[in-house]
Amino acid sequence: MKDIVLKNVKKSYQGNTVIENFDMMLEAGKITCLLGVSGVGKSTVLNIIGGLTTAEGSVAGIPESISYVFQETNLAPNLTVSGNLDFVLRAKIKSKEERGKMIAEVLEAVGLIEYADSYPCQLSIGMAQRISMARAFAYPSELILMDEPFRGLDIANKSKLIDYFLALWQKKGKTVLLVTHNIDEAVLLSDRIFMLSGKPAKITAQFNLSSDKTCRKLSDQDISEVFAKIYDTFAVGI
Amino acid sequence: MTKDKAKKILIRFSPLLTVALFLVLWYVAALAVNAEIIIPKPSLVFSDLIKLFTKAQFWTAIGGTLSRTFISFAISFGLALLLSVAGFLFHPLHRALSPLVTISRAIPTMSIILLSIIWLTSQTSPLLIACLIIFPIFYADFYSALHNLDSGLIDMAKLYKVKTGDIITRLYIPNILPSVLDSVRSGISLNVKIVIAAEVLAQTRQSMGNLMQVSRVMLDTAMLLAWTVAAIALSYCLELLVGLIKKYVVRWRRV
Ligand SMILES: Nc1ncnc2c1ncn2[C@@H]1O[C@H](COP(=O)(O)OP(=O)(O)OP(=O)(O)O)[C@@H](O)[C@H]1O
Ligand SMILES: [Mg+2]
Repeated sequence: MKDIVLKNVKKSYQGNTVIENFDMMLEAGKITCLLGVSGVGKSTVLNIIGGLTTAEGSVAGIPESISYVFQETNLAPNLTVSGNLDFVLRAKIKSKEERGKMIAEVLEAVGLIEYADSYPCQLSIGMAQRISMARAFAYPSELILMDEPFRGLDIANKSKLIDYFLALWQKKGKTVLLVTHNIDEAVLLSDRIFMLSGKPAKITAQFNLSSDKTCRKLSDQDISEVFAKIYDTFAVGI
Repeated sequence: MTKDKAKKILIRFSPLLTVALFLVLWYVAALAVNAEIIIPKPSLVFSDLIKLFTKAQFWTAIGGTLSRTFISFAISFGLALLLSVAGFLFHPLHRALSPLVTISRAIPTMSIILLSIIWLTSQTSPLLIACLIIFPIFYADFYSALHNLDSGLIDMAKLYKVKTGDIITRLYIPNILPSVLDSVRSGISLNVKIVIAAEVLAQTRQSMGNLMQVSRVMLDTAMLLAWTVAAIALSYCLELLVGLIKKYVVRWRRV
């Protein structure tokens, strides 16, 4: 697994430059977080890394297999919950039995095993969000892109999913890029936090966190310090 | 009886009410005109229709018209599906087809009918005419159904490297099916109408159109109307069939 390096990246939509002079490094096997206000270009960065949109500049180290928790859940309405997971796994895992086992396991983990045969229109937004996460977790990949994966979830489900996510990340050692608006999530989950701001946007600040993520608390000295710094940066206005 | 229940019953029976009202008006008009050759009474038309049921000629005509409808429908549908998918995946093809679609949409139906009668036999011209009119409608509808497909879903499939075959059979086709079947539903009655119109002018043997023309020539208005009722019933049955297929195939849609 290699580090992912973006250098001098620029992206414009019909002459409207969204990001420019953009440099970022995602360390292999680490969780990196991208923070920024709405509309600044966070999803755009994820789409560039995921190869869903083109950009100028150099992007290196993108692995073969990528999982993506999309901002819109992007579940196929014509497939059941398990059908949606099966849809992405088919090309990767030949044995139908094995796929079924993986799907059952991940649905159990996100607490939605009894909805395996439901259609997306029968799910609430938070449930659809969890299915979208289950799909990203089940898919064998080296990199996970997550666009506000925990939004719209209650505290109980959120902490359960965070625990599951961290356990999975530890076991499989994937590289993760997490986009969020939530400073709590950022400081609790990341090894490194990048702040994206400006118009056109670029990385304007960076914070490193070295403590063990599985037992971090907001009250920890280093965590609360970083939290305060990020909070101030946001409050000053970017 | 609750208000809700009354409303439900009203919704259920209001179409029948319209039909009943129409029959009454028809009957009154027939009495007022009092000339069978202009407006025959509904009772006469329906007894003529029942008489038709007992004749072999009626059934061979229905069979002929129906098979011409099916053949032209199948050709238009298959071609439109194939070309719309191909045109969607390969944009230059869509651009190349667009003048054809525009012309065949704008060309007067009667010109096509008259020309094809000159060029083709009375058996094959209804097929060509129906295809020329139905195909562009299907093509445009199918293409826009594909075009309106949620781009997020396609991005998702691309990112997860789903095989193209799976994308087509599990994403494209099921998701365009609701609008495709809606288009087919209205297309099939138009198809019946066009086939009959072409049969009238081409004087196709074993066809509803030809027998309609014969009743007109013999000034048998009641018989002409009996054929019309039969044609309406035929279209209605075909639409009903497509509706049932849609209900069965598109179970995943919230109603
Ligand atoms: N397909 C597109 N066409 C044109 N402009 C776009 C497109 N996608 C994004 N943009 C523009 O790019 C900018 C950044 O959008 P982006 O979705 O990356 O923001 P974001 O940081 O993810 O915001 P949010 O937190 O609200 O999701 C916005 O100003 C938006 O208008
Ligand atoms: Mg976004």
